[in-house]
Amino acid sequence: MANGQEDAFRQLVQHYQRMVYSIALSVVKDNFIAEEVAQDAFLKAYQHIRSFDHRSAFSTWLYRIVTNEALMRLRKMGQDKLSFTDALPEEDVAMPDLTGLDATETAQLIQEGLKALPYKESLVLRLYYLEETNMQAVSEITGWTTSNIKVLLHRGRKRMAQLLHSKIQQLYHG
Amino acid sequence: MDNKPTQDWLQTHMQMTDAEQVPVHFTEKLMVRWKEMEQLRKQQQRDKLLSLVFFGLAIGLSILCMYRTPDLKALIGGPSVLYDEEIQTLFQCLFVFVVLVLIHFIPRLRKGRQMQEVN
Repeated sequence: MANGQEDAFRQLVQHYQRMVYSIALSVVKDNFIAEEVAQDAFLKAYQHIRSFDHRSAFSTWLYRIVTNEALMRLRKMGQDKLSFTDALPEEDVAMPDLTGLDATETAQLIQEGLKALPYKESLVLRLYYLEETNMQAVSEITGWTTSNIKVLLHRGRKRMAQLLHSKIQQLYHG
Repeated sequence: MDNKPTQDWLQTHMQMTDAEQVPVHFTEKLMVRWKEMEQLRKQQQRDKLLSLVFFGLAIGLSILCMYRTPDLKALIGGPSVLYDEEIQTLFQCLFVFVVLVLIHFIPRLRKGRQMQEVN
């Protein structure tokens, strides 16, 4: 019985660990703290598994837990009020041409871009595009309204384009 | 809200991007914490059960003291006397109750303090 529980928990961790860790990292922006937050979230999910009511997908419930944990940690660190210093570009910036890069380099560039974004924008971009979650689920996970999420997605995309442009420039022109 | 090509571009490239790689030994470290948590949970369950048994015993003995003092004295080999004064019986009950509670709680308090120090 105990072994069965252990195996089940291990499988659950292995299945969701990357996304849970990514969500934590989006918010806290520090590898070590993100690891702690992700682990705390898994343990909390295990402790409160009986409160999962199947009204939403299990992943939505789990991601909500890790998001709350990460936001709580951010509040403890006093960094939840920090704003992004670089101004948002006025006009739309087209996404840069990445045809010269292979898939791994592109993925790495996008990961770096996500890390550099403000936590709210990074979080919604990750959930919406990476996890291919719909707007309603993103709202459920974060506790933010759908209109708020639309604004964050818009700002995130804009800022991501700006960040990728500057990273590409650094890459090619030193 | 913003131009479609940007959304499509991001959609395409993000789908090619995997979630972040977790740090090495993430699962192993988490499993160690999980085992500790499980041990603690089982310990707490045992403690809860023990507490119930102890309090049951304490209350049972107190009732026994209150109503069957001469029998109890006979049971433990003391001089069998007729019913003591009520106040004396009450003090006996209280004494038994307090002793049992102290026996039960003092080691746990000490353990709790040790845990706090460790933390």
